[in-house]
Amino acid sequence: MTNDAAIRVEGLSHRFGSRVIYDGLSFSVREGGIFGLLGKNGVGKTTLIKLLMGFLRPGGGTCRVLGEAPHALTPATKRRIGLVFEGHLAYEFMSIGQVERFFSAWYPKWRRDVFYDLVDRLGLPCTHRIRHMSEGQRSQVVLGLVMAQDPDLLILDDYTMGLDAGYRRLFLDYLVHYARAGNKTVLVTSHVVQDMERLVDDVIFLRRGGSVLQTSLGDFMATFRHFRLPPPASGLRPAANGVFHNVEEEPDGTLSLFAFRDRAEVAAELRRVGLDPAGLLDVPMSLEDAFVGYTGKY
Amino acid sequence: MGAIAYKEWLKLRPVWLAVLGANALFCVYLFLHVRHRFQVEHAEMLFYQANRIGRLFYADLRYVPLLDGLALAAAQLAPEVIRGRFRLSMHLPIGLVPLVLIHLGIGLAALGVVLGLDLLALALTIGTYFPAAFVDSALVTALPWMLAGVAAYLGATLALLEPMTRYRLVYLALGGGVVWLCHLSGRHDAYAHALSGVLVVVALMVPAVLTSAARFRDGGL
Repeated sequence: MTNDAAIRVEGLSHRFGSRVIYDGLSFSVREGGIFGLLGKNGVGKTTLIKLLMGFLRPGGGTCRVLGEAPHALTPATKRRIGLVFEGHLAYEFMSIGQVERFFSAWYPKWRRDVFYDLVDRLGLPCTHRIRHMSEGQRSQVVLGLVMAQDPDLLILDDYTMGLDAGYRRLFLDYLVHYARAGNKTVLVTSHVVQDMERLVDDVIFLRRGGSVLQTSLGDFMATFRHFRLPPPASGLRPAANGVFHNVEEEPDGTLSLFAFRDRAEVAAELRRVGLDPAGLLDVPMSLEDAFVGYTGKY
Repeated sequence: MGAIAYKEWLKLRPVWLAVLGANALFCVYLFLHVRHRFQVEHAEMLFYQANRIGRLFYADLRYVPLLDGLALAAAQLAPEVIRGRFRLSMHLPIGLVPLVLIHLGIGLAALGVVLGLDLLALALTIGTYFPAAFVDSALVTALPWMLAGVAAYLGATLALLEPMTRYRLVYLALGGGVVWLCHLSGRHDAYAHALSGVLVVVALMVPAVLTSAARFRDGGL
């Protein structure tokens, strides 16, 4: 871990009743990077965001956000953190103008121009109430508020929820431009994995039970591979092991093999377990394919 | 402080104005009711009833503050706890204790204006038709009802902010208990020597709200 980490998580453990969410989770988010926190439903992405923002107390381990413990964030540090809550949480009784006025009072570096540059694209009057907005419109207002705050660290919890492709793209384009131009640190969770390819530098894969893989997006896509093997006549099915990260059986019996190994190593492993690698095919992957291959379908 | 007051004003304004209007109408009703009694009965008889029998000509006021407190607490807290929106304010650059106390202060001030109107109308109504000594008695009699309104506000705030069901039930019982304490007797001047004690009991509900807010922040959702 680097010393200039914006977020540092060490040995984090948390459970809900008897269900273990994390057990010894560790990772760090370096300053100036854009990180995607990816994982299937229920692995604890939102829980992790809550822990980082002090909205939950961990069972064990430590978190530091901009050098401070989440439950003891000083007002000065809170000013440096822009937070988009899951579901684009907003005060719905306020209008666009009112919500801008309310939040602007808290942030000395407030950038009204940034807020209205984004929100004016909605073509709505300042008197339009947030409760009368669509999910997509509300997402723009919430993003505008966070960007106008001019924070050093942005944390966005499932910003894609409820957004159609157009609003997702608008949100993403703005966020990427804003973060790159301002050298912001961004930690984002999303269910729409393909968006991450356009956004993030590094990915943090969270799996059930709290195991984690932190890697750069480029390294992951370069080293994680997908091979397809025709249905073996013998009925043998290789298991996930040191070579195969994950093995999925397709409906037609074809085997999808996912591995951080090259073709030769995979072929050798197939021969070792008694399978003929003759029909082994390399399959190109999108990030979403790789995500499903890494985390498994089920 | 100013920004939170602005937010609370935007949120509370419709309900607060409605509550204020309803109380103003009630005050008019109270005045007309007392005036009517004096039109249909002799003043001496009414003084006798008030002074000797202990008849309260303003007994209808008794549960009005209770309803005011509940309505304002719901208007202030429901939008904050639905989907956990209070976390938006908790992420503002301000500590939890000042944040909660400012919210409470604004809610209590809004309630205080309404209750102040009730007391003023009561004093004017009684002062118009009865000797001055009856005004003091009416205010002392009505003050525990006002405290019941404050207790209802704080109890509802506690229950709404509290994320854990078992604590919420305890707080509902506690709030109900304090309201009950304020309504133990409906006789005039019943609380003349106990007002400060009741006030302390009601005031003790304020720090309890801080503990509920802390649990709300710590993951009750």
